[in-house]
Amino acid sequence: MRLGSLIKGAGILFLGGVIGIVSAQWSVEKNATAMTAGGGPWKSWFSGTASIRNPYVNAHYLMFGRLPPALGQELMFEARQDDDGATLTASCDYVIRGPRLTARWWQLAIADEDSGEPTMLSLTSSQLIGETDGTMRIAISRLPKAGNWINPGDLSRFELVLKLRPGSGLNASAAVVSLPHIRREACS
Amino acid sequence: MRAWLFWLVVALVIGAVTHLSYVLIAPSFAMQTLMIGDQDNAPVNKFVLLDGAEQARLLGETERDAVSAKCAFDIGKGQMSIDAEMPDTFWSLTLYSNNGADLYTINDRQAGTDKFKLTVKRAPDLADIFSSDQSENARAMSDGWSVEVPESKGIAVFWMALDYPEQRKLFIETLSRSVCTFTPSQ
Repeated sequence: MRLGSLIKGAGILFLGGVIGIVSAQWSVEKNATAMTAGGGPWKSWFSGTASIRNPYVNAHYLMFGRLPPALGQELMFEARQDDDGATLTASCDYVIRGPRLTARWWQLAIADEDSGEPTMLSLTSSQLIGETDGTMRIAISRLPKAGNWINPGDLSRFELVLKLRPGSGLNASAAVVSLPHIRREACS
Repeated sequence: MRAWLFWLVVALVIGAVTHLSYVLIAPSFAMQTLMIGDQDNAPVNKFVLLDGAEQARLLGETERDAVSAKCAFDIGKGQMSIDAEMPDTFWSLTLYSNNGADLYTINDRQAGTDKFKLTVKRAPDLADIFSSDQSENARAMSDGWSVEVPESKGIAVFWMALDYPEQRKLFIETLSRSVCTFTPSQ
């Protein structure tokens, strides 16, 4: 009888814990908005025009080991899928293409999707080699590519994190920022 | 049937507590880890230049991307002054509370100078607000700026962009002249 109650209690505790964590993660995820001006897979948890006081938004950044963007100094966009909605994986090559970003400084980094942690794989505005037509093109591939190239190395699934620092101290709304396309090419 | 309903309600209550803990309490612990890392005796109210590993952990940026530093602060029993000396480049200084809210931020264009003093003190409590005129929480002083923040613990993050990796040594040399000083209340 006692053992039965103990098992029941543990089961209830476990069920409650699972309900709490799953609903919290769902609520955090729900706070993201698809943000690119022209559609696309980029999402932002930060509108760019109001300080972060929403606990779900704050939790999104801190629980993944990132400092939340400071109001007026930074916009942060994340993409876990390509333009066609397929998960980003290091076994495929991708091309990030679009108009050159107008921010005073920006960084495109690869984060490990499994651990949620940042990696040392990144490219910044000062390292970018611009295209002759004024656009930008960045290749993500395990094989060397001409021009701007990021090697995802041993990662399996990954996430792209794009930080924009406008430099003026005033962010534009994240919803009006034009972000590059993510096109999948060959997969091995 | 009633017992079943009872246990369902218990599970939902536990779920609500877990949900709120995940959203409200766990991020504060995550922020603590971000602020001081795994160090037991992390320096407080002291200027610390970040090495590559620490910078990657806190900002997700490599040594060739940026230079950064921090002052973890505790102004519960006083105030902290930041005497900042920044290199002539794109920089920002941001104060975060210990639950991740940004309290104050400024960059090179907003500051108009690369050398300044910022005093960080606790905002007055309700009684002080009703008894005096506290119309602004950031103000200019004769020897710099002063900012009043609602939290006593947090972190000041210094960040500056690198145009090319060779600038790193020069920027570190300049930034290292910055100091964070704690002054206890009288």
